[in-house]
Amino acid sequence: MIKINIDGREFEAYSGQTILEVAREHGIEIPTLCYDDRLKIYGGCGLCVVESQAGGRLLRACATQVSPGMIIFTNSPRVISARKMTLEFLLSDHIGDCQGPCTRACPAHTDVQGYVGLIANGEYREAVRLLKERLPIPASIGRVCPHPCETACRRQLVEEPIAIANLKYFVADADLLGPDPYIPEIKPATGKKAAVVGAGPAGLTAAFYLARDGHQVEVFDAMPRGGGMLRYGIPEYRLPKDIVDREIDLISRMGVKFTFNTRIGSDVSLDYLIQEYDAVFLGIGAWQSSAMRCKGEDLPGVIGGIDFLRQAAMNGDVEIGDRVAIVGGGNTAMDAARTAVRLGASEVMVLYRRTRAEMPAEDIEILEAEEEGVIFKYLVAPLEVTAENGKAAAIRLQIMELGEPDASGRRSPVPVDGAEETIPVDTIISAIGQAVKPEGLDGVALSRWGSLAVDEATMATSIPGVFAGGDGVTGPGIAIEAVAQGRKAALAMNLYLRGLDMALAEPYLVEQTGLTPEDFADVSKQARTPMPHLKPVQRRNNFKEVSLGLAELEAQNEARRCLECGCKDYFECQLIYYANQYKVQPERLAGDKRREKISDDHPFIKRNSEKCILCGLCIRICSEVMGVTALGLVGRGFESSVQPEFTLPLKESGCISCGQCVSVCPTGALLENDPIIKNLPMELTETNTVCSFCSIGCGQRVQTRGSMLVRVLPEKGDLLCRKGRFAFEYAGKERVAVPLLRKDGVLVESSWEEALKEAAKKALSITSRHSGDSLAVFISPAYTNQEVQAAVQTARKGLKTGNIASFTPDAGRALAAAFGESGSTSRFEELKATDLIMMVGSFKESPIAAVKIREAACDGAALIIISTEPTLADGEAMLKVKNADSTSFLREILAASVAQGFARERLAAKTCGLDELLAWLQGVEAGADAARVAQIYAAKHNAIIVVDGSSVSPAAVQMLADLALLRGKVASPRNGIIVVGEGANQNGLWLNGVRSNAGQLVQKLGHEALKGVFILGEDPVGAGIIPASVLEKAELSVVLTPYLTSTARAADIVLPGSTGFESSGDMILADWTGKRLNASQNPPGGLTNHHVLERLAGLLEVRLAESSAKGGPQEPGIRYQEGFAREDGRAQFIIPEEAPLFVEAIEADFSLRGFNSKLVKEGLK
Amino acid sequence: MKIRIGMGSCGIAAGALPVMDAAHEEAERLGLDIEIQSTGCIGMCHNEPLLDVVDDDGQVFTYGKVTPDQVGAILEGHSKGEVLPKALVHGGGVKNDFMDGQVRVALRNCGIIDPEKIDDYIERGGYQALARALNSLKPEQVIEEIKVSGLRGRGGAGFPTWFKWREARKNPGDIKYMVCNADEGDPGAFMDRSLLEGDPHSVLEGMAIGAFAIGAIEGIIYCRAEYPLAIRRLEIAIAQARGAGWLGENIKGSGFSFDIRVKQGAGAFVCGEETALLASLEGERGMPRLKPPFPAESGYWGRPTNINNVETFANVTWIVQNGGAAFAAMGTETSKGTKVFALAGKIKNGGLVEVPMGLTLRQVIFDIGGGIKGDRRFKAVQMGGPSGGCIPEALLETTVDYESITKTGAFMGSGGMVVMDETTCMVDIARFFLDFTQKESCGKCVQCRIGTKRMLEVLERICNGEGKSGDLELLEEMAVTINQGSLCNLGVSAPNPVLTTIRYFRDEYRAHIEEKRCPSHQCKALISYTIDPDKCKGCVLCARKCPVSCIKGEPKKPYTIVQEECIKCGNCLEVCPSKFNAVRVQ
Repeated sequence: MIKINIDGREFEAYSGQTILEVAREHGIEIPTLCYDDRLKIYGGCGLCVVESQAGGRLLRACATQVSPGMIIFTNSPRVISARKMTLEFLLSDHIGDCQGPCTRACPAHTDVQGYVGLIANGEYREAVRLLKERLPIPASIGRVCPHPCETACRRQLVEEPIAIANLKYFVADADLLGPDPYIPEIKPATGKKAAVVGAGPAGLTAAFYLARDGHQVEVFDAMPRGGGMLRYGIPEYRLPKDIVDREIDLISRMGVKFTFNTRIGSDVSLDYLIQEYDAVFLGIGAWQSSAMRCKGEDLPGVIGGIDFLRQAAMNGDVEIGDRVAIVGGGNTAMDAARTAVRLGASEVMVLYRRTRAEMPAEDIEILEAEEEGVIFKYLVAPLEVTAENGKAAAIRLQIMELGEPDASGRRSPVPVDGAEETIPVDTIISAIGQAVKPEGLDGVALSRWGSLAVDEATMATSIPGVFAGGDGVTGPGIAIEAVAQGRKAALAMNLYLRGLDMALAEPYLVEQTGLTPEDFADVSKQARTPMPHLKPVQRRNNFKEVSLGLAELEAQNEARRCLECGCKDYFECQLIYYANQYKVQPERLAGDKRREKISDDHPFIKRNSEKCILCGLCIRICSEVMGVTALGLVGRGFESSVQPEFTLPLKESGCISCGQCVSVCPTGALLENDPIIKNLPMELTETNTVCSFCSIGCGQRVQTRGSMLVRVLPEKGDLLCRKGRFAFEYAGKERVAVPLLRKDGVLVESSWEEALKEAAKKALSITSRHSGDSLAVFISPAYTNQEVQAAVQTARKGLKTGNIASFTPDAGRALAAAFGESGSTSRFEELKATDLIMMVGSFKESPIAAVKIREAACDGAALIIISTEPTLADGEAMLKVKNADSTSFLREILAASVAQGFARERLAAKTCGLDELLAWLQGVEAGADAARVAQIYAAKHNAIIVVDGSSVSPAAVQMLADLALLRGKVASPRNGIIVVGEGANQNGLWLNGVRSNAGQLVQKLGHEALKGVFILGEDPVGAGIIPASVLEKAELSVVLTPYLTSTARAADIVLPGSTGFESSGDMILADWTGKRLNASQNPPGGLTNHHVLERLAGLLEVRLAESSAKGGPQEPGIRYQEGFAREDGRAQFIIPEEAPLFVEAIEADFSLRGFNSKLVKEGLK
Repeated sequence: MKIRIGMGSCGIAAGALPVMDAAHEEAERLGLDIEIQSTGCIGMCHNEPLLDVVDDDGQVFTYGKVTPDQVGAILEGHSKGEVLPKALVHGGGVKNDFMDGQVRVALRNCGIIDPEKIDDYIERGGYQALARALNSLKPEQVIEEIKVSGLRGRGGAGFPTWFKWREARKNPGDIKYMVCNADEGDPGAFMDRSLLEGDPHSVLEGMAIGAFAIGAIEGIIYCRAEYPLAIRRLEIAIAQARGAGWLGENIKGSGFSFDIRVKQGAGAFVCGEETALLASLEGERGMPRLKPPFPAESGYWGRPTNINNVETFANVTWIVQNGGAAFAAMGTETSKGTKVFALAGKIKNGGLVEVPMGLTLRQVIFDIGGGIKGDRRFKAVQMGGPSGGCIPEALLETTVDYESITKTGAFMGSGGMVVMDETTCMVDIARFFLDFTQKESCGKCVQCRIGTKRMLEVLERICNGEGKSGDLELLEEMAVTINQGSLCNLGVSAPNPVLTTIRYFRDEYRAHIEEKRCPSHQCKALISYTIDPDKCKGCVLCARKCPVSCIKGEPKKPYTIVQEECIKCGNCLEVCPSKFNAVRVQ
């Protein structure tokens, strides 16, 4: 052991360990971008540098081995600055957008791309959940927001921006008006109390997040109802008050208490709130109408815009007369004008001092006002309001013209000398702006504009514990800004209430600028979906909502227009994680960036070299671990890049689509093509489970969101082949969700109850009419032990049959005759320690086995390969036999082994049939290859034979068992046979008594006493194992299946089952280790396989026993060390008929066949 | 009488082939029975083509810049005992500082023997060193002899050769390799090429001696493919050495077997770095690997491997033949022996020189190299290749040894000396070298791949007159990160030219950044040419020479330059007669 000191702490380490290993072992984080413990040290990113007290250059922690007495600093200023600049270098050459411009432009940074994408995928509840992480009142905001997101939307470079606000409106309504509107999970109560002043957008938002974070919140508002400006400043026809009420109601359901008609300063003092509550939020708004500053503006008949709207909202009516003039050009002016129209004014004029082009109101508002008959007079400014009978009667106007542009770029109006106009009016509404009226807030410091002054990072006012946000701080602004501030304040208040540091930093994000329409030239044009509106005649004289909302299909189509600007890797990207950790400022290093257009069309992998940091992980995992060299580095210097071999499209390279490169890519340079409608960056839920396609049992991390199965990744440190990684796409296709019953020869939809009863009734009828074993049950090797046990018990006790089999071939069963039990005798982990591996078959369908063999060979095991096809381990083989295609080759090996001599006496004691074997081998001449194989196999002390069960014939497996027996290389450590087959749980089937011969049962079906069949999980008809007529011949055929397979189509009763992603339970893998399958999804039919079997058993009056010990994971010692499993404890030499060495693989799994046809279509198979 | 004609790449490029033809023709015409020998380069590149006449007394007369039509006169003259004085550059009483100041150890045979004839080599004592090693020394004694000599690696880093050999010997393994690094890539350096073209056997012999010392069974010469003549002569030499029994199985009955092959590099500068060279030898992309393990432990295909430079091997042969002590008698305390330098740039006598360590830079550049072309003012000398450093005039008294050169911020490198005069802009030269290293980065380390590019961009900005305050500090900050964060020496030292020029010529940078002025009048964005109307006589010379016809005017009246169209080529300045001196550059 070596003693070393890292950051002042003493550690013991083994010699040969690196600084990085020791540090990580003890929880000291050292950043890396090019390190993976499965790969050779590369040392390219230079992020792991640390400083040695001995001085000198910085050390790479990944590559530097510890030495006695070493003193290391992982966080010294020198180290930090080196890492920071390294990250800045990387970011200076990184093109892309961490977040879409929409999200960046939204003041509240709502994850626009996220909720738009979720809408496209039909995940409305997830969309609302996401929205409400930033915006608690989306239905209101969706209706009124001037949507800076759309202004920033890049789709404009194609045609028009995405209708983001309308989509928000759609999805928020879908949730709000639905049966179970979303309310976030409330964190455990903190016991802290917060007061919120003002129930407008800022106050509601602050209350929402404070309540979510576990605080007790009370909201005070001066007005009789909640909503603030949303209620009193925005007319009903734009935002129905019912919507506001519903959103407020949801907030009160989170435990927020509302107290109305309570004005701060007069009804309750700020001091009181400060005393009674642990924190206070001030969302007081800006309610003071600005003065026109002209003579006569105090006359009766002149009213402020916001005051007018408030009165209209409160009373439903305001006395305004026939002729109404509105002064101003903003949204409030439009709201006032259109409200005046609705209140019955016959002539409504908007007076604006510039022209339409300069008007700040939204276009759609102006347009709709025009449609409703509002008259717009441009280039006029009020000079005086003249009176008649003590009341405003006319307005004298100065005619203006546009002068030079001012600092803001707007052309300022200048008076035209002597040009005036007077217009007779009954009411003048002055809508030129609002101001903050900070009454009753003595002690709170104000800004120089008279609004509440806050610290921008925390929204804290000058009084400790008092925070503020919204119009009261900014002056009149848009609601989403108030929401943003309310949230920011609430988050800071949460930290304040918990006694933590309040500083909230905005994250650093990579942004792409300077894009032009040419960059999107290949995007096909698709017009923006217009929002349906009431016609002007339908809306002029009432306050009905003008917008009608998007229909579901319209919304989905609109959402699909999203260009997906934001990086899909944002939530997993290591680069941006470290960039923020090290507070980078790459702008100072700005320079050229590598530009590259990728026109790859790989079905599973998307490449984007502009995000590549050249860490080389993809190249190295491909070559070092998988034994493939599909990727490499090309070019020199700054222009170096990762390219598929020979710069071919990736699809045409040696790529085997395992996606390992994507799994290790630390940025968004390599991404999966997710099989969902719209790919989008999102935080995903992860479930650890096991791949059930073959019996290796590779660990899977299944990532889901809502009901979407988005991605399947290898478990940390593990590997997956393309099936385990990408075939899950087909788990969602062609599903049966409803039980089907054959009526008059046609399968029709039924209910669970009816279908199950029918199955039970018919089965009972058969078993009562025939004595014993009149039914057969077939079970899939992808079923868990718990499912198998339920099925076996149901079969034995309920269906009164011992005919229990599986259609899926299991090569491991060929060993049962020799050893007494089915399946492998050794464990995968022994491969690394044995001296010789004999690999038989190509492992095309289980390539990870070949990778494991290759890894063991790289570590020193000798390797013989017998395969007519190329394998992933070919590069490491000392001998490859390519031309053996019959078991006669194995017979030659046996003969050569005999010729080389063997321990006859010891064998005779442990085996039967030796003499017969020797007789059978008499006179067999061994060719050169066979002799060499025999010689190497004999010479190596330990040897394991690994068989590709999906391509090696049973006869061949038996002869390999003979060989192992002959040489005594079985039933001891590091010696034996491993058979990898299709379906993860073949051994579980054997162990739980599924031992009948499927072929024989099929023969009997329809004849003899075998009258009916239950097929659980398999598709023998589709796989070509049996013809559909077999089912038709049977009196009863019941199929439990997740998919509408050919077998299901021929059945009498179809019960919807669950896939491997929807079931939980245990599997016993090829090497007898156990692994747990964990459900990440619910089956669309509502019942898992186990539930279905339980209900069926119940109807058959069988109570299923608890899982037996055999159901759990098996961790046996060396198999057969104490004797073989046959009765006499001896093994049997088998003499099979001559047969082909290799057979065509049968694809029994329905979803895999779908996946395979995609591979064929893409030219990958 | 015998004549020798320098037929290295440099000689051939300068026109040695027609001279050779002329020699044959003239000898026949004159009926002279003389031996006409083709040799490598003697090093006097500034005087090529070179023709030596060796008279029957063994006296050598060297003629320089020989034209084919002079050959007859030279031969005829010598046949009568006369010389042709106007072409004579050395010998026959003509002093030549360039040649007389040298001590030739590594270059001992260059320009003297025919490199394609093993007998020529053997005649000059060739293969005696190997014979001595095989017959009378144990491997340990060979290593000891090298240790006594104090020989340090001539490729750049200056690591003691004996130490590397001892490590490679110590590390266990039946199979070991001896690799010769002939991937000479520094701009302006050509000592390895010259040696391989002029005396390939001395390198082969050195490798065989080293192989014997460490126990290697195979030697590989990794030679850049841009040296076709060197590769051809190596192949010939290897075949001849095999034929003569100096390579192959059981060499001269000693029981020691060793053979050599040549591997051509594909033109990546970084392959001169030993681990990248090994990766390239194994067929991988030439990218440096992490050390440790060092090649002596795990090199070519994971076997103990020793890698030395061409010049080192040539020295080894001499040392084993003449004894380590004789070598150690030359040079300084820590830097023994001689070193070959390639003098290039603004120097009068460009070429290869071999001098004892310990001379001052001034002696090498002025006494041997003859000083600056056009007698302009010396400004700096770049040593250590593209990632070396620029040493200013104030440090000309620095002695040439590993430690002293390193102290200046430059380093010895393979021995390239690029001399700069007052017309060289130091910002521009830093930009030039960085541009080279930047393009040659293998792309592995972030700091080198992107950092050098960013530094280059800042330098380009400065040269374009767009420098801003803070740029120098930013350059220095990036330099530190690149130096600290890069894996191999290419990246580690890439910022050196920038750092040393900032260190010694900060004012020149400031002039660019703050005053938008290039004091050396090299940065085109920062200079303008004008014609002084008082001095211009309207001779039309400049207008005729202007490639973009932007000099307007009428004959006999002052001309003017249209600034917007001017491409700042400087032709006008060059052609304006000095008596007028009317073109100004600012």
